[in-house]
Amino acid sequence: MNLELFWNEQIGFPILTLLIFLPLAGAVSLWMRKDPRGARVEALVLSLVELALSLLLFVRFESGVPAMQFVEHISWIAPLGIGYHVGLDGISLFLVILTTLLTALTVIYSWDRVREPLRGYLICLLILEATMIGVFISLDLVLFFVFWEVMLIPMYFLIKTWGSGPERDYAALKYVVYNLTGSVLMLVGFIILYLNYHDWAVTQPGRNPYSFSYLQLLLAPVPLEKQIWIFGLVFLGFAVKGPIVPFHTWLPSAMLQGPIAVSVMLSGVKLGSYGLLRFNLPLTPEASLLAAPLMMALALFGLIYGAFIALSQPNLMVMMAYAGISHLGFVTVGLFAMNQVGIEGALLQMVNLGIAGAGMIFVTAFLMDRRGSFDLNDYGGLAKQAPLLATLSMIIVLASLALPGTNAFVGEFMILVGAFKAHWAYATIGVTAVILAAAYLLWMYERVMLGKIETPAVAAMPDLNGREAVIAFTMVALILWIGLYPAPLLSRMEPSVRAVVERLETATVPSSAVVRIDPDNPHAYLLKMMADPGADPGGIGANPSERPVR
Amino acid sequence: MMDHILSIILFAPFAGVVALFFIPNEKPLLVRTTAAIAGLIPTLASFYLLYHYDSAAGGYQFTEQYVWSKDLGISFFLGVDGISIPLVLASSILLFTGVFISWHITDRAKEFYIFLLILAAATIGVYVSLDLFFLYFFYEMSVLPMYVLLGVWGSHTKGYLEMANKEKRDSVGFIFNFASNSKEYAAMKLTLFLSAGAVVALIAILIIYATSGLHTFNLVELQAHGRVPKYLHGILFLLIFFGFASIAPIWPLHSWSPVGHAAAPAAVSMLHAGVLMKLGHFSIIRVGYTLFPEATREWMPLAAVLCVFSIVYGGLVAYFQRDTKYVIGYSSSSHMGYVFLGMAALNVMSMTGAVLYMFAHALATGMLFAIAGFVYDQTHTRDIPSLGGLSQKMPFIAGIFIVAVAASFGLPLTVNFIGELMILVGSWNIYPVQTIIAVLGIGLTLAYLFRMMRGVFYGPMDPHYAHARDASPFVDRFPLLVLAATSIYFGFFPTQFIDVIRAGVTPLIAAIQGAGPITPVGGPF
Amino acid sequence: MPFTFTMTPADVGLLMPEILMTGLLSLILFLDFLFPRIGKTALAWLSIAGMGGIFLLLAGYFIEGRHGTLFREMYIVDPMAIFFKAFILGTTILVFLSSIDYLKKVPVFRGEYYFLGLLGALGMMLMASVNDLLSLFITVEFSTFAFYILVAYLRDDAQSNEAGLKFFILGVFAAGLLAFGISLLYGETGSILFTDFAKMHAHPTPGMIIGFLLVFIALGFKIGAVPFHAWVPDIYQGAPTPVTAFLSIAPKAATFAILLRIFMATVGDIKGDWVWLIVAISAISMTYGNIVAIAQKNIKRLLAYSGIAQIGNILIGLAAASKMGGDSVLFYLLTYLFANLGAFAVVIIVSNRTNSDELEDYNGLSRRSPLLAFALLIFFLSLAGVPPLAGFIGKLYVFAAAMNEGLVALVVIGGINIVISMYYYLIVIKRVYIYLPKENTPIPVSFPMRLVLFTTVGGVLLLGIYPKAFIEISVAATELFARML
Repeated sequence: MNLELFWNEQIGFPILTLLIFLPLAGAVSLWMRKDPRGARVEALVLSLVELALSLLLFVRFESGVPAMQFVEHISWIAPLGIGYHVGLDGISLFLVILTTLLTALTVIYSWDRVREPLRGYLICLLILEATMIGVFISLDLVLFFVFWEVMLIPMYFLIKTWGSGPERDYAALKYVVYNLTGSVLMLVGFIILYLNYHDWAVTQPGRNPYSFSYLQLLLAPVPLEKQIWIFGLVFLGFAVKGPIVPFHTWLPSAMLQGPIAVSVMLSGVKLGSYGLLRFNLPLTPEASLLAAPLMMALALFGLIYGAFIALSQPNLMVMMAYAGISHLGFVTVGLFAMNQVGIEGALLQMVNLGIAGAGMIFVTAFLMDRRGSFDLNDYGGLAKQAPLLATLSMIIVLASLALPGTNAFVGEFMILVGAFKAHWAYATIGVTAVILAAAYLLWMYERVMLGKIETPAVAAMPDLNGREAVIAFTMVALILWIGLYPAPLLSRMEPSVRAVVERLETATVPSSAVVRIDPDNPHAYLLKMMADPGADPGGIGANPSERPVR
Repeated sequence: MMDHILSIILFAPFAGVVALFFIPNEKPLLVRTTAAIAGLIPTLASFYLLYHYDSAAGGYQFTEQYVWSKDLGISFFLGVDGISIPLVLASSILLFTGVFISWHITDRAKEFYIFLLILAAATIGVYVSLDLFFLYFFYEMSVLPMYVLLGVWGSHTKGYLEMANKEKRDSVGFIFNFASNSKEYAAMKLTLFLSAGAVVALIAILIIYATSGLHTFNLVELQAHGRVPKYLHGILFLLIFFGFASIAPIWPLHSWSPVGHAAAPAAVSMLHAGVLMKLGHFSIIRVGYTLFPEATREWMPLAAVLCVFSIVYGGLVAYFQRDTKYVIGYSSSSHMGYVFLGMAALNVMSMTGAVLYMFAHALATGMLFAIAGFVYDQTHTRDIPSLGGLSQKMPFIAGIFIVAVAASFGLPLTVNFIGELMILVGSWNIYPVQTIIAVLGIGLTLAYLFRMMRGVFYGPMDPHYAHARDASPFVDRFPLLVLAATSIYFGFFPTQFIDVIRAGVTPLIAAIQGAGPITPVGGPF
Repeated sequence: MPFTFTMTPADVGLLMPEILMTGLLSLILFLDFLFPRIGKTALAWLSIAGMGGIFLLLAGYFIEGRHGTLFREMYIVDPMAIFFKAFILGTTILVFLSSIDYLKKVPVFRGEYYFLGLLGALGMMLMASVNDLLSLFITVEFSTFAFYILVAYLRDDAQSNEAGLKFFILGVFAAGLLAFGISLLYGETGSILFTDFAKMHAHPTPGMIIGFLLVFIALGFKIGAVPFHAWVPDIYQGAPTPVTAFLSIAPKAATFAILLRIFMATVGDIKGDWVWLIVAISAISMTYGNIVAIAQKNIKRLLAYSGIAQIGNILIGLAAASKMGGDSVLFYLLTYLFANLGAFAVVIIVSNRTNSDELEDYNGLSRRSPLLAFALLIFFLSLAGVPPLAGFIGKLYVFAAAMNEGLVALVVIGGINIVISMYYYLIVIKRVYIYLPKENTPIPVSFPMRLVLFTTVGGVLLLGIYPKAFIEISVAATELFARML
């Protein structure tokens, strides 16, 4: 079966390259021009063009095949087997669209809400967009890493220069150091993979001994010991970016101190979980099987922990941050259920929660712009004052607590089904998290919108203006559409996800492994161990020398 | 003409020196232009080298040989291979840009440029010499100009002016005289450390000369027919290693280097950190690796241990420095640890990475020092806490500084990244622990460089730096742009480089591996 | 046996340089006495011209490779002897050039100065040809005699007189030791010819050993090697600076000519028995000289101690006791000549201006006279052994020679000493280049001084960058060792 469809077969022009380099070119031209107003318009136009292009991708995308599409492959650093290799499949397609969409909305939002120098802000935003798209469509690990790293720079300056909090300087540094450390460890993981491929490729006649190409690396079998190393290191990288508890501490500070744009991107575009789905699961299936119980434990813990913190937070933005962490826990649960429905649900949920989470951030931003405070207690009774805002944010809130009919419900349901298939206990814990989410979101809504107006400041609040309305309506529209008719998304996601699941199903842990796990139910092991640590569940060899890894 | 290209590269700066002798000090512009030309010629010529070196053929190329003294068995023997070409290129670029960086020096500018040219030329001389005598000749020759350059045109470090007893710096116990931060102290310490190291290496070289039974210093002949007794190889390699590693500088022989960086004027720090340090690694490869493959295989694990200390210690100390140049100085000595790691792993990938990284680091640290020097000229302080907010005054400099920082922590799309990547790839299989530590070191690098960037360019600005100006249109911007552009260009297109370097590295590694399989030392190291 | 004295024209030819020298110095003496009107400077130029002529003659002899012996082998003329004669003449010329200004300040006896200088030179030229103990004694005393007066030349200067007295006493003491040693050797062997010793030292008797030791000690005084160095600093400091320069080079070279003959040509093949002695002396000389030099505040004393260390370096070549060792000694002497004489020339110029030799007076010299500063830099770095200067090649040469003979320890000590010496040379460089001067008045450099400076700087650079010719000369000069060792 053909793994790659090249751009010239599908569409007349190298669309992915265009997607990456249009914003960069835009950034340069913005740097050249002098007037901020013109810059604004130019940025808006650019982001809309990007959006249009990504929608074009959506239209031209060939559903039903797991292949990489719109592929471009040029050799770059031949001696190291590094190439400019881009393409996208059902997994990355919607994340690209989400990125372009959110960028456009952010530009609209930031129209007059950003302190000077506006040009610099827009430049950073465009570069950020380019790098994020690059991350999603890179099929060469080094190219991926390039975008992954370069992303830090605009992010750093966005937080540092245009942040809203007093501690933004520190927050920016924290963000960069955390993520760089994570990603260099990830790089080591890639390197091990690369060396493993090399060892394998030299035995294969007529194969380039060095390659960083994702599709090539998929071919080489990886021994379990290496897989464990690779999984661990690469996971660290994505866990920090995710962020997955306990690597999350940078996120609240970044979101609180950073500008709205940053918060939108951080909570809207789920880079970490994309990485897990794109790299960890397919490249190291056995290791994933082994690690699944642990991952599940982490995910569920994050899920509950995030929810609880959010529940106890008086600060809107921090609450949103922890809500995001909790959401990500949910996605991870779906991923490591490691069955078709669970993973597909997780992927869908990345998109949904991206929309919902970004929507919540925008709502928070609207409130902030009006009241100048993130403190819940400064609000109350806003519904009478700003009915439009109240209604639309209601829908967004409902979406992010996954009410049936909203988009998130579909994904969440699929995830829970997947989790249940894996083990009933996961599903149970997951459901309780849903309840918690409902609790803090509704409580938050109640404290902000309902009740009667205490403070005169609130009494003076205007309703949504045109731009804000555009943003809110877009969000709501998407929420309802995906909620009611997710088929177009699922049909495009399904084959790619199936490909991943197939790899996972064919994966078997060799008996040489310290822990023997039956692929059908890898989770029994953890639960037995949790029940009785001393016990020797079926997973473990009778030989005492084969004690389990803890 | 082109078969004498190495002589051209080597003697163009010397010609510049001679020319400068006859130019009156009253014509500063003429002086500077002459120096610039003397730097431009080797730069262009070494680009020619890079693109005309026949990687397929490999080996030493563009060789020239003239008998210098038959009775002593010394011949003036020039030649380059894949390992020396990047370093020659780096030296010439740094010389060329350094001339512009020090454009504003007015006090005895003529003498300054004379010594600067001698320094650079001597450095190049080491890289192109294939005769042990001349290798040492130029090596020692490159050390002395540093003394005068630091002493005369350098700057005192923090705390010096508060020193009660200024004569202290002349005291015999100067090595223990940590209180003194005077430039004289720095210069003296640097010179003596390096001379001591050089002498150690000299003794090794003389032993080789005496025992090889060839009565020649010719490296190629020694490699081919040298009959140095086996039992000497180990000790000779160690002498060479530590003799040259003192300039590298490997922990714990590094203590002279940050002090020296801090005292030196910008252009000199650039050359110092950029190419002078690499003399150490280069000479170890050129002499030690070439002549004693078995000993190399046996002893390089030691370097793999020491490099960890270099990386971690240098990084941590750098994080807690107040003085910009100390930060950069310690960061350089920490980054040299990566080179040692790459050298210690002893395979083509890692060695290629190490050499490429040397080149990359030369450019990156060159930019950093140039900027630190510029800021110092504008504000007359290098104390980070008292600086701040300068990006308002000098946006261009701040911009380049970001590039430099990105380059030196190995952001992708700078050549440093390629070097780092290859080092890591090469050394993972042999030294996993060191590789992990090195990787974390990257995070550390980012931490202290960003900290410095915040301290100097952002935050509130001290009002009495309001007079500070941005880089002047040409003279200040041009060199920085050249460095940044080179770094980024080779970050995008390193292929040519990698091929050339690999052509130089492969035979060495083959010889070392051929001498027997690498035995990774057990345990974490 | 009946004493018959016959001289063929060839023999006269062999003696011709010395004969001409004698003529020249008597001419100077007569001119000075009979025509007091003649400017003393004119005398200086005259003697310089004369010596130049003789120098050329010697060069001719060298190329021609003339050699032979006189007076029953008491007196030998061979390439090495010619080399040293030329060496001494060259030194004397340079010293006279640098004396011209200096003497302008001396009220009386200026003519005698040149006469005595020539006398000393003649004595040392004879030393270069010594081939037996008797002529050894005579020539050594002959040459020293002139220096007794020259050292005490500044009549009204207490220091100078004191130095003269010290030098005299020590000289006489050394002479006594020498005479005693010679008598012992003669008593033991019944011969005074080196060539005879070369035959009969198979089983050296205790008497012979003691005799040799005494002779060696006496010569050790002449070269001022530790532990026979005690006189050096005071006398260097007290003597008129040009004389110090003269003293620091010429007699040492001449003595080395003798040492080479004795140790290599005569007892070379039993070097196992004596090499440890030279090694020890060389090691202490280097170390002691360098360490003590660090503490000096007076530049003449500093140069004195550095001179002691340099002698230690030269002894490394002697310790090698091989053909190559011989070459290295000769070559090292050349580098030492240029660097040391140049350094003293700078000292003369500065002290003419400031009337003081303290290191403080060198602060900021580079601002007062860039030429002098640069020259001093060159000379000191050469003495320290830094490429591309003469001293580096010299040191490398002796080290290589010693290494070839397996004297690793000695080379290591030499290496350590390079670093130590670098320290105190750099301290002076620091004063010259970095410190600010007390007064900013420029220091003029007169024509003869320029001549000296340019010659020495040129020599240092030439020997450092392209010494091929000089290495070949010294190799050719020590041909005899190739036969004997």
